[in-house]
Amino acid sequence: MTEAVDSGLVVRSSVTVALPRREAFRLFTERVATWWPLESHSVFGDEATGLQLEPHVGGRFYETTDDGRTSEWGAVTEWQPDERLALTWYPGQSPEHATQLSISFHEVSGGTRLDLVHTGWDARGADAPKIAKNYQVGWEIVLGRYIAAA
Amino acid sequence: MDALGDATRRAILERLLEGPSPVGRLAEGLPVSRPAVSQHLRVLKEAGLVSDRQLGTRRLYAVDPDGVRAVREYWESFWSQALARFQSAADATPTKSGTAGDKEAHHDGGS
Repeated sequence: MTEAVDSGLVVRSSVTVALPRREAFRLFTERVATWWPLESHSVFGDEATGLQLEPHVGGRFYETTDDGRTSEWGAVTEWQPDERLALTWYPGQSPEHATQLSISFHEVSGGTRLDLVHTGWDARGADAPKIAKNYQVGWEIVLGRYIAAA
Repeated sequence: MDALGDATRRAILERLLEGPSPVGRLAEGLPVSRPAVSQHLRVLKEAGLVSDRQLGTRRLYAVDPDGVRAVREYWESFWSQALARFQSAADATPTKSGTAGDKEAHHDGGS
């Protein structure tokens, strides 16, 4: 059943903005703290006040609080300014539980389309032999929906 | 979905995706106490995302298969909410270079 653990689960989200590609990339990276919904999408919730993305391969993506706590969400694995970045993603987890995020920027009529792809769920199945039956059933259901939607 | 609105609950659920686990192991590495983890598990159980069974002296928690589907829906919702905010911020950003500065056809239903 290791095939079922290689989930194939892909979560996608896209959005088009009325900015040139370079500006869209900068808003997404340099100024992430200005738009990210920290109050609902963070480890510290209401206490989270800052968010930083270090702009290079190996750079960390982390949130901060006013009293000096930090929580690391991921690390940059690919950095192509204005075009594409990839990150490991493990907010609230340790790095070995990371999934993978890929974010690309495409010039389209009227602006830039951002495509976000969230994969790597199979990395969570590293303990495949220990995985219980109901987990496998769960993934079959997920895969079934994925294939049906493809 | 409210059961997943809390980051700690998300972390717990993601750990359970790797396989069933007792409370103690779930609490390891999380920045909350074991009773807090139990409380989150109760919420997840009520939401149908997690089920539990007694195994000897331990109670094992596991992801409910139907709940896994909800996880995928959860993440889709997570990203569409975050990107909607990105889009709003972009709308509020004055464009300097003007190469794609006009404000038409800027929405594709991503929110």
